[in-house]
Amino acid sequence: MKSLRLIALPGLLALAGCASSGSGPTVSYVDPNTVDTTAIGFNSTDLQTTAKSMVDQMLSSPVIIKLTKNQSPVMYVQGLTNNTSEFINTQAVTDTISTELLQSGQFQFVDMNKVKAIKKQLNYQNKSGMVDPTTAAKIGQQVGAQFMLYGDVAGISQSNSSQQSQYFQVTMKLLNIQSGLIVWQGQQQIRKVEKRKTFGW
Amino acid sequence: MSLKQILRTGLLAGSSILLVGCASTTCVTIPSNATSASKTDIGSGLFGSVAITPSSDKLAGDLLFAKVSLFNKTDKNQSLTYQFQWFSPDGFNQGNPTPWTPVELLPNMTKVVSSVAPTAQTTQYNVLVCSH
Repeated sequence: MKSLRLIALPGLLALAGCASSGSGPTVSYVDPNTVDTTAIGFNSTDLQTTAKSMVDQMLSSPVIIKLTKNQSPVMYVQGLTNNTSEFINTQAVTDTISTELLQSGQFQFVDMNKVKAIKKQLNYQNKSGMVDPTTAAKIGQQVGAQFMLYGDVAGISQSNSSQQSQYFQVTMKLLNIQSGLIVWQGQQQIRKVEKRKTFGW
Repeated sequence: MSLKQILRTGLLAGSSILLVGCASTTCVTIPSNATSASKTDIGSGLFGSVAITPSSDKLAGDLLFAKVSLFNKTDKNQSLTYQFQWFSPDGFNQGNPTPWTPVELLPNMTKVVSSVAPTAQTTQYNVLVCSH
């Protein structure tokens, strides 16, 4: 019996590992910027690093430096097209990019998703008779976007008996709406490998 | 196999798992204005396997452009993550820190990682590097 205890003790300690909490699930707050390796799919780390890389590439590009030297060009974000077979929250990627660009002070944005709501509000202010005309926002004074930001996500997924490989390629382009020329293009590649466990533990 | 041998094996296996079980992460924070003395200190200090050198900054537009050289001084692969934190001249945080970004360094390899500051008010930064 004593010998059994001797064998069992280190085993139990090993299973207990480094955890010090009691039974049941625990919830804790973690830094949203930490590296997420929960699964091989497009995760928060990929989203954040892609967005930051795109912003860095754009703001450090000589063409963009020249373009933003004496003005803050107006752009609208058309969004990212997901060409992969898995779900990617492309809206979150473009939102992060536009937040960073707006905060940098180098660009201004128009929100094409809110045109309907803006039109409704302008009609209310100018045509309902409810708003003092001296304080009403004037119709026809909006600023037109000079540039359009858009892109796509492509992916290649491969697997064999021992591992799975996932590759993402995010490409973004900035297009001059008037001339139709692409003034900037950036790319971010991500490759991840998940090794399958020999023992399911 | 005798009982004694089984016991010995059990104890050894359990202890080994315990020793291996808890992986540790070592991190260092290097300010952008680190002197050359403190830069070389990093190599022989907290984790002597990687030399971290914040290099000269240039402005992208009117934004600070931070570049940091990471040199793997060992003959083994190094898995690191890094993050930039941004500060105004009076030491207040500017924007969000960059996401922790993984970087793999092959033996004796140098990689330069860079980032652009989030605001024009940013004049200094810290680079945080963790070894996993």
